[in-house]
Amino acid sequence: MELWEQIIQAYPEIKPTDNFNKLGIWLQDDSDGKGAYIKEWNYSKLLPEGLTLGKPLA
Amino acid sequence: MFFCQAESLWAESLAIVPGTIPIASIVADSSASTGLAWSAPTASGFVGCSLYNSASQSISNNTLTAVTYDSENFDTDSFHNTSSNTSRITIPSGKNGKYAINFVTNGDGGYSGFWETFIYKNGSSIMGAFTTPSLTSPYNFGAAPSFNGVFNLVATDYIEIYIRQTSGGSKNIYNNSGQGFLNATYLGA
Repeated sequence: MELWEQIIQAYPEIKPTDNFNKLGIWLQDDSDGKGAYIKEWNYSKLLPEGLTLGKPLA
Repeated sequence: MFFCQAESLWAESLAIVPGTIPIASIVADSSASTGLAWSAPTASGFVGCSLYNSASQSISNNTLTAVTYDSENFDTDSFHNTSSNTSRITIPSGKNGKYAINFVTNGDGGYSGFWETFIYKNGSSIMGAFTTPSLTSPYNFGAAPSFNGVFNLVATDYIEIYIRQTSGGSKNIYNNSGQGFLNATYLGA
């Protein structure tokens, strides 16, 4: 499951076609093989359980 | 280019075949021991690179993604590497100055959403977002996110293009088959 799908699963009020950036959710993929990560989280609710802020080190 | 009609006597004294001589191609070579030698000026030449990709690139929904390029139309000074950090244009040593950056791609259409483009310098956004709507039925044409700008850059600075779409699923961009490119042109110090 992709990162954006995990967020929607945690918060079903967010629709796939919503503009995540306007909701305060900034997802980024640097195309370096490390995959997508949460660059900024300013949504009105806490980070979903199991997800972390920032780029993974490995 | 300017031309002059050489007088034959003058031309013979310089050991030049009489005729039409392009003035711009003759300069004194002060290092020659005789002082009579001539040489062509060194051409300054174009400096820059033009990148494309050999295949389409999938962009995940609502995820700002670095656009990658594994191929080059040209690259005069090793601005780019086709096997590592392929999203980057890195300014080489000795080439500090103004650069024109030009980007265009062809993105999937046919949905109610948009494409959004950012330009990154050294890993941080410096300009954006440039938003292009996707065309829906009956057109369903692909969008054409693009960007043009001039930036002051120094050696080791690197430029990248990031792109995002809001279709609700993955969509492709096409920087292959002549449908997209990223260019950097050195304009001068």
